[in-house]
Amino acid sequence: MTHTIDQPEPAKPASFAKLWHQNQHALGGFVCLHVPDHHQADDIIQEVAELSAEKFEQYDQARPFIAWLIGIARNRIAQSYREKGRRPIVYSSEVLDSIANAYTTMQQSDDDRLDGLRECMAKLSDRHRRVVELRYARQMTSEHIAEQVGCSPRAVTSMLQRVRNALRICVSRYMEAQR
Amino acid sequence: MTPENTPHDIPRHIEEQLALYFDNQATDAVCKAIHDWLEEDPANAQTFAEFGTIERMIYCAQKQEDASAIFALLQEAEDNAQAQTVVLDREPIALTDAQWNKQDDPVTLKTALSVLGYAGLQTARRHAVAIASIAALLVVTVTLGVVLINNNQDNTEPSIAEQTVDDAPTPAPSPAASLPIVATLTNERDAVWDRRPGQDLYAGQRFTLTQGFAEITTQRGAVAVLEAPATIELLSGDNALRLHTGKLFGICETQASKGFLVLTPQMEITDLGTRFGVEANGYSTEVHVFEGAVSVVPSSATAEVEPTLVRAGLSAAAAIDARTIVKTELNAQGFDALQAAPIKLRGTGQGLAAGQPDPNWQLMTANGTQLSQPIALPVAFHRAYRQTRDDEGGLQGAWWLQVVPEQQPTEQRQAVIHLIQTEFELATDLAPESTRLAIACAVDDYLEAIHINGNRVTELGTKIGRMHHLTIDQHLVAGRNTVMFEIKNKWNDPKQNPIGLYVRWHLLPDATVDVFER
Repeated sequence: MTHTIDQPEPAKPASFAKLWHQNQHALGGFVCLHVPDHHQADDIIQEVAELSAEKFEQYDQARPFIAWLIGIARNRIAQSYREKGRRPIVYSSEVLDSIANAYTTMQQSDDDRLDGLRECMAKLSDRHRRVVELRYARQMTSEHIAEQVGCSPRAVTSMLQRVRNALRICVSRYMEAQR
Repeated sequence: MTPENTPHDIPRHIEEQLALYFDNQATDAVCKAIHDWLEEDPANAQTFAEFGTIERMIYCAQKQEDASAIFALLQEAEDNAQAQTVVLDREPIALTDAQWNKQDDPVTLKTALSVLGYAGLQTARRHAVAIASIAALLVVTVTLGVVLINNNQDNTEPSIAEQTVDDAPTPAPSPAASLPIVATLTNERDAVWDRRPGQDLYAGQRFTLTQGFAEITTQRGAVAVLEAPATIELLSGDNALRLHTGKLFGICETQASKGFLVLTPQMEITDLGTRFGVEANGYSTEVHVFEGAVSVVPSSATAEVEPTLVRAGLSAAAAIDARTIVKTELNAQGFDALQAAPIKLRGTGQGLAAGQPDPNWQLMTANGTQLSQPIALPVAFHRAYRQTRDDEGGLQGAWWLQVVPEQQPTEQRQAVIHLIQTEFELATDLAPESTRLAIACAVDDYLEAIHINGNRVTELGTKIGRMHHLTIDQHLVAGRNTVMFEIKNKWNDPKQNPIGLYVRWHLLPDATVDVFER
């Protein structure tokens, strides 16, 4: 029986775990645009994770990893639409390419964005934070959130979009400041 | 194209469509309006992409359990040269390409069963537990299972369309509705209901327990034990319910279950990782905290009010229309039958520094028929998983290690199976048949199965990148128990593809020990 401890080899190619960690939210964002239901999106992201892990040897490290992931995700999303007999929201291949390119050109990694999101979330009002928690952590519908916070479901839907937009702008400014 | 970090203005009518779209209320008209907007200007695609990323990140940030933090630590450990290589003196179980690609390949099963024979004999020698033959194990493998919290399917249950909810304040599930399962009926004793619930419970369902006891487990693992008479309503989300009247004992021992929300007519009670009792009689509500803490807000509070923190050893009460919470010393009368303390187990790497061998866990590998000698597992990193509670007995680490057999693999071998084993003692005053093993784990690449005392109790097929929660309620014995994790990992170059296991777990002697086994 031998039991030795080796040092990792220097300058090895990026591992799947590292690349996945850096790009998973961007991939999630792409999937989420086509499949707004987070549970369904989770399933598709998981399938992309499995496929990409299995085929990682085929990944050309000269290309952006997110572009490779999105290529896999596009096929899986299309398959999901076919299985459900639904029409995709984005049916123009040109628009689809534009969206995919937008993710490829994003400069910062998910870690930077996550830091920005944390800072920006701290700037939300208590009421907005509560609505975000009810929606995303407790996954309540707008109807149930409306019962909790005392307003109409329509107001909750609008409030959530205002929060998304505020966070989008805030995170963009945060990342601009980091450059 | 608008630069990535320059926020792009959005017309108001598009904001409204996006609001509906991300709120899952998209109609064809909404989708068309968004698509037309996307076609107008490529910069809009950038904005749309930013929304998608933000939407996803908020969702992930709010989810309590995300194994990505563990994978981040894996990378950090590798970068800091903390990941380690263990050289084996024999080959691990190797899988061909076909076996790797087929989760339930019979050869994999056969190999695992041959390993089980060894593990079972070990257990038998130690504990005189009757060990089934290989044939019997095959039957066991096919017929026995575990309660998988996130995968609880019962084909005998009536469909949503067959369930009736007549006086519920929220709409009954309609045949067209595709409502999510929010909780599971996990145990009963002498239970009599106004309407018999199915095992799967859906948002909007309301039930009255008129006699006996029942245990409901939310999708995130929070356990609510009810004592009749009690009326409850299942809420949307995966970790909340409304207690209209009656007595409930809440147990939130896992990180995922933290945040369990119990609404009563007078209070909104949010668990902060604890064990607590709630009693509601229609006119007032009392909450009693036995461990940890809960956050309480009066339901009738009209403005934003600061939640009242109620810690262990305290009770709190609110009467009808109350705008404040009154705290008192713990008054636990009436909850004796419903509470029982869990037994905590050591997680992976718990209490150890990086590089230290863990005396409680060993790597076992096999060449098909025999396990090698146990190899102590050095902890690859030791940092608190950022979402792990420190009060579970200390910081917890995980193993991410590279396993290299001295015999090099052949080209046909695409994956290997590793077996990681530990033992724990089940106190003799606990009834093994009513004790449950609650596990939260993340694995690189896949957790194929868990073996309890030589019994392959489940075909898991867990997925990389996710934290999995499951509860095992079979094959535990009084005294020493052996648990083995069967991990499948892609072969390629093992030095670039370490296996990993992170486990956080505890024994539930069953909140239901007194209630359901008496």
